[in-house]
Amino acid sequence: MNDPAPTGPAGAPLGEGAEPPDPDVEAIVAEIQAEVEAKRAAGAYPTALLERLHTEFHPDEGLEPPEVLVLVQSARPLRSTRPVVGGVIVFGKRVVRRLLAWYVAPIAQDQTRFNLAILRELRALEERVARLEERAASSPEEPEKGSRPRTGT
Amino acid sequence: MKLAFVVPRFAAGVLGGAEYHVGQLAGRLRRRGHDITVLTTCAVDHYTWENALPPGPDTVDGIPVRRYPVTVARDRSLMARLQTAIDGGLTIPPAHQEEWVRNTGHSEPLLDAIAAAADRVDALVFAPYLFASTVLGGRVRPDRSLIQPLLHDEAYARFTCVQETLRSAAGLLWISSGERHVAGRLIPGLPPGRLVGAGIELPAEPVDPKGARRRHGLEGTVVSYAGRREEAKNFPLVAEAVTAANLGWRQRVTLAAMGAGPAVLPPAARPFVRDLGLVDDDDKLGVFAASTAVVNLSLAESFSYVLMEAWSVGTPVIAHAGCEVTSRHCREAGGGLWVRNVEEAVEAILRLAADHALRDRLGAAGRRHVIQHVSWDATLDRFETAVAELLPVRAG
Repeated sequence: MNDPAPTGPAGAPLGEGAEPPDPDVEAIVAEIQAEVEAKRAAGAYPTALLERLHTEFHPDEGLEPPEVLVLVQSARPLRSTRPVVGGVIVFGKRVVRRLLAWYVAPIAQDQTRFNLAILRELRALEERVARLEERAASSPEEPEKGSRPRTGT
Repeated sequence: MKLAFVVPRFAAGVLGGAEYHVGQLAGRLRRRGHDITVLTTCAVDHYTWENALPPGPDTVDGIPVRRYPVTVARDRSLMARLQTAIDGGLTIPPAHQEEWVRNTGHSEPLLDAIAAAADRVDALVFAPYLFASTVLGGRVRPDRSLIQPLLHDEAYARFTCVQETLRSAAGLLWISSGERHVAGRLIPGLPPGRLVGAGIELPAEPVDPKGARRRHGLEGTVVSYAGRREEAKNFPLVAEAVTAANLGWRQRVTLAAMGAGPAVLPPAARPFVRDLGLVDDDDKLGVFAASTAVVNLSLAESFSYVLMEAWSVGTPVIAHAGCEVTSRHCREAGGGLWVRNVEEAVEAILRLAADHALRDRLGAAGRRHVIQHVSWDATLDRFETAVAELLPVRAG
């Protein structure tokens, strides 16, 4: 690719030179969209790389089902990146963790119980909605009110 | 005209789009001969809302300011719970929405000052839309209140109390047609409004793209970004596109990233991102001019000064199709492209890099748009007309 050092109107005095017609940006955007769709369909893009980059750049986008995330753990693996004093630091962290466990662990348990309760309700709701959708799809449509034969008075 | 601007914070060194905009507007109106006062709180930090500055009169850049203490201390525990729910996409009940607002620097003396000023000024002008100074302050004398929302599509714009205040105002002042469109979609029954816009100064001296490339060691195809380098502004998507262009498309593209704080990115991006940090305006414009495009894929914009700055030096922009404000700017100006995903972002960058004539035509169209529509003179004219039309001078 060439060096794209711009040759445009950066800092040029106002009104200098003839003005070119405005570009049709709608058409250019539509062209790019069509090009991307065509290349995708032809498998021209490095899909595996793009998926890997997407995961790296957007780590918070939920890839795991909530069931995996229900359990809140109060004890995490203890590590230190310090080369010499790392062992001492890890030991210190372990002592602090033990000392605070009486306070932290019940909070994590409460949160786990709450998560489970919410998730159970959510799944129950999903099942109900699915049953209702199934029933609605399978039941014959009710006749319209206007088509019902009138009875005399 | 005699105007009182009401903002949650107003002090030198307070960084933020709304504060910058109100500072520019108030200062320029004052230099036009209008009688301007800013009513605000003593807070500087919009997380803690602590009273950091003394109450009473002050002057900021020649603008008379009166500060009032925040009187509702922030309930950190409540706000942490509410913020978690809001960020998680949940709708919190209206009573909690009101509590959230009351925890954003609520000052009872400021409400008294608004009441006292209402009959002495031609208009009370509130900005931005979501803090206590506007949501609660705008209720004091809605008949004398104009609100400049500076709104984008986010949870706070759906708060009942926020919508009630906006609906009750005498009028609304929009900074962009995109903002007006978003607000109309989210909030039915809005009062009359006027598109006022905002302005930027065109560079007084020709900018120096070659000097910017030399200073920062930028070579080949460069795209640039300026602003907060964080998820909320979709910065990772910009870096992802540049990384994909290098690793997947095998094209050498460098991202010049400008802004405060470190740009925290995955290791894959690091060879292709130059973190220029916080640079001065001249340097920023030089880097923009040296770039194939300025890429702003944020979904949370009510105006985007960055787009206008890019166009002021003849550089096209690439925006996100999902942002009504910036994509609409691109359509109106003809100065940029909008993309929906990484592949489209890469193709847009590479097309502009390969086709200099197209790049220059887009940049020139953007520059013409800025000259014709985004000058401060035109903005102040529109502002004066809007105030006169929305709040006609009272008899007697």
